[in-house]
Amino acid sequence: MYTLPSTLKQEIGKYNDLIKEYQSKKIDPKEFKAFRVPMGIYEQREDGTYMVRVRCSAGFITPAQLKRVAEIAQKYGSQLIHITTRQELQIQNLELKDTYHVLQGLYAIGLASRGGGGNTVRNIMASIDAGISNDEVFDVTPYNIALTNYLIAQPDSWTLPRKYKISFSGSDSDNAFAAFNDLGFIARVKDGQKGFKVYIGGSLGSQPMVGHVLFDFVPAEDILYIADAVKKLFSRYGNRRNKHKARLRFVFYKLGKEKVFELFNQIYDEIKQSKQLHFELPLLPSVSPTINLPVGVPADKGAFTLWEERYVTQQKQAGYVSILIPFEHGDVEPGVVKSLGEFLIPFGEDVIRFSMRQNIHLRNIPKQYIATVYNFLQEIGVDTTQSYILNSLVSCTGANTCRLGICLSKGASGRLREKLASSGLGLDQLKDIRINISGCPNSCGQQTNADIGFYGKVGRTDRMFPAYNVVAGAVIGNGNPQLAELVGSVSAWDMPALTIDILRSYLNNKDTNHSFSDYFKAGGKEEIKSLCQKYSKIPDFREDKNYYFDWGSDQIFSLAGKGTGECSAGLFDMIDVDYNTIRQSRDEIKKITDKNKAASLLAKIVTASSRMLLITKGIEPKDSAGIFDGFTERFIKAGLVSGKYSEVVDAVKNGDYAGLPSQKNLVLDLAADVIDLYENMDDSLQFPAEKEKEQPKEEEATNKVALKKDLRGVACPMNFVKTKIELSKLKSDDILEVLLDDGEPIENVPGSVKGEGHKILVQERIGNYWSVVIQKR
Amino acid sequence: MIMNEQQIERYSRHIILSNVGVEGQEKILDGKVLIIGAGGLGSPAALYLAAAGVGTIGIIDGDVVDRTNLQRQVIHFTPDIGKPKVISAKEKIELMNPDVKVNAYQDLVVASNISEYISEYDFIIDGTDNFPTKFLINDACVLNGKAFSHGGIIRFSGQTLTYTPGNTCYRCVFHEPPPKGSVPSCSQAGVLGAIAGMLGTIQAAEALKYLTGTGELLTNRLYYFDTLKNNYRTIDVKRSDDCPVCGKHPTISELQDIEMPACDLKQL
Repeated sequence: MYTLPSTLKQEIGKYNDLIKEYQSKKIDPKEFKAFRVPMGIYEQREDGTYMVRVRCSAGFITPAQLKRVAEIAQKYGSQLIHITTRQELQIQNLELKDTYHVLQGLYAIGLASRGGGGNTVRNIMASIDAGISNDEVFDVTPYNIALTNYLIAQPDSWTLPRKYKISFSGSDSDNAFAAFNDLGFIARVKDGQKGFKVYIGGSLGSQPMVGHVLFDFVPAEDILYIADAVKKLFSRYGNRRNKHKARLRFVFYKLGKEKVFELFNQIYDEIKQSKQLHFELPLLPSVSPTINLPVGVPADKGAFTLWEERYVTQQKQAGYVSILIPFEHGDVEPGVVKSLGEFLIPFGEDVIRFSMRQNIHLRNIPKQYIATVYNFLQEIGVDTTQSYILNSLVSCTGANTCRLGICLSKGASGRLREKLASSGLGLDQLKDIRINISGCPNSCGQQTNADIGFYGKVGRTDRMFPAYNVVAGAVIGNGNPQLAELVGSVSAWDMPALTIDILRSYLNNKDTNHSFSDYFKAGGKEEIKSLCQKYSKIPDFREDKNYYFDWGSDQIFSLAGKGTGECSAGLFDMIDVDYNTIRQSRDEIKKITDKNKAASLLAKIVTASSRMLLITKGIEPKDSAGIFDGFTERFIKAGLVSGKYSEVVDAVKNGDYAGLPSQKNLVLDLAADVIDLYENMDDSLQFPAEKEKEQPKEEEATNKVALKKDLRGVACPMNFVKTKIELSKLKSDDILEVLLDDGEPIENVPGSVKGEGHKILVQERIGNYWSVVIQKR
Repeated sequence: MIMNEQQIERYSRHIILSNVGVEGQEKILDGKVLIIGAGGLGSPAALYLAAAGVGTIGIIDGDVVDRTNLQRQVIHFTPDIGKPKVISAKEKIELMNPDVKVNAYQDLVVASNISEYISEYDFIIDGTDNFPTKFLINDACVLNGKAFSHGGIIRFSGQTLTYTPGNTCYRCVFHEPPPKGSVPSCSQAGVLGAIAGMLGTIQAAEALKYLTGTGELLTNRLYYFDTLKNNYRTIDVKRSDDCPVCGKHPTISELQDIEMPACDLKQL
């Protein structure tokens, strides 16, 4: 329904040229990728396999387009069409050379892939029930399309620091997650004038953030100016150097809300004064007046009625209904898609929307044809027998196909579905429950705005096992959006059982609580925490091996073969915990007048600041003294932060908080310096000052230099490896002291060191660990 | 070259070795090895050198992957059929180890280009399947003072020799290519796939030892094995005063292409 930009045809041609140049190696693969990804073509995990992401503004597509998309997919050998959580389609498993023909085919029917990936304006979402819901303020679809048309015609929409996500909700219930997008609009009417409440900066992902309210109300015509100004703001201040910190929310983290709003307002005023933007609302296709189809009769009336209750909704337009067609994980065969498109053509152009739960919602179906649709769905093999919740589990693709994945989220979701189906719970009462699963801390499975969400992590007993962090209780809309809260963790093996326990607890309390988030607030949170506790015991590997396998894998769980991402993802998560504490405490302290409270908040900031970056040095302190000692040793003495902070660090170490309020500025400077270090950290976890220092270190080492390395917590043989790394920095006769754990480490490392010809000068026990002093040979 | 944490983990089993250690691994990471031929010998050699973290691996081969290659050329997979071998190999290496820079040359080595190709590398691996190229590689390495590993396989047996400047060269031992027709071509004789793996990995080990400067190389010794009878032995081979390229009165002072395709089916 959107208008293809006039430059697109030429860009598709250029893409084809680049494919050829890439294949004949005339251009660097990176250069090709830099053009390919923003065009919406991704390489899949399997080498040489590509997918094309098709823009579907507001999740809209016509039946004829849908049919043609399926035909194109079939023609070029794709066996899979995938519906995404951003209401688009992906044509998967294509060969590179064919992607060009696919783009051409899409162009011919008014569809584009540009902006499907990369640092671009992504598909703009809208409420799934826009235009047909009784609850909406007005239909947001035309506004979505108008904004899409405006943005996709601008070349600078494809060269942003990172992706730019926009969404439209029809009412305060915010069912299109406006508060969780970079820019979100919620329909409002003020003095008879249509307009929007505007959210900015929201997003899931690592360090998620609920958007800030930018405007309580703006007239509808202003949305182009706002989207333009946000784009310019993002383009100017977004972090282009580190893509992990590039989304708009990081501009807020860096500059603070007030500053960002001030910058926005400057840009917004400039644009409003200098430009006259044409705001043109498109006309939506009208409902087909006559349909020449036979009216169907269901074979099994009972089954039909149950399905109707579960999957059919009355529209605000009398006589018309909306029908939900579920597809597990949004995966559909092109053949099914083609039949569906063909079947729907007689119903008119405005009958299909893709949902954020990766399903298809039909709309504008005349009541008398409900059974016709039902019979057809059975014919093409769509599930019509199960409760909706079994078909609404959202999972990212997980470690089967994603290099960053830790856990097999799709496997877990499949197992949960089976367990739920046989759980005996009243599943139809759980229709609105949103359960989302991500295989790693990135939020591709959107767990942070779920009722119950999971994200993969590595659990450890004496060996690794697949596990999930459990989050719950997100609040969507009604003026008070909130992210799901971390409530515990669970092994992958017990995750389905835990979920069923949580749902049972919710159902037992459903009468008194309207929604899951109500339940969560009214004691559900504590209940879920204790349920997680119930599953906290992980049997030893010898006792029960099940815990050490992930769902859908016949191999013992390991991170081998997975990308480098997940380890560092875990590391950044740990950093984020302290980072968030610092941020929250800093905000809180502005409001506090009570001296004691201020003192303990400041102590919290000092602790979090001291601990935040220890992990980059491989230090995982076991007690609070370890935090401050580690920080003093590795950050203050190492010259990474100023020595002036010793005073407050030592005070907090000694539990002496009373003097902190008078040193508030020093504490805040400490936090700012630590955050500054973090922001300037490079990919190998080095800080700028260290790079400069590395050179002279070796020159200084002309005489005996005592280097010290804490290798506690490092298992064999990595402790020996790290000892050798340290020794390699030294000259002959120099001294190195290493700290080693009792047991295997102390039994092995000194012997190995001696075996290489170095001298062990001292080996002594200190409590539960050992100090070993080595002289390099 | 300072290793990051991930590299320390990745190469930990090298670092533990007292003959390699941190310094040796750093030399590997700085090392440059050229593999001539991405076939039976070049495949395992490339895979192990890549896993070891050799900083730059050059691969030269003019062929595309053919179904008959897959029985022994383990770096190529069925979907690679039709793909240039060097691209197929480069893709696998990049997946395996992002530390490695791969230079893929879709080309044949001939007298006019070989000196330029080898000039950028520390060590050369001969993974070719025909005598003229083997002699060409030998001559080019001798004349340019480059170390290389010779390797050859047929049926159930293989042989290898490492050349470093000043030591016995391939021509000292074999003098010149056998007369045309006297030796069965590879396509006629056949080869057990695993033999390629055995020999190619020995060549990779030689390259790694050369880069790290550790242990004794297979210089002045020809290693020969026959897996059918399970005979494995080294034969001392001396430098020849009459060697046409490194002897007292050398007759070869510049490179020439030799017309004698011994394994010519694929070249056509």
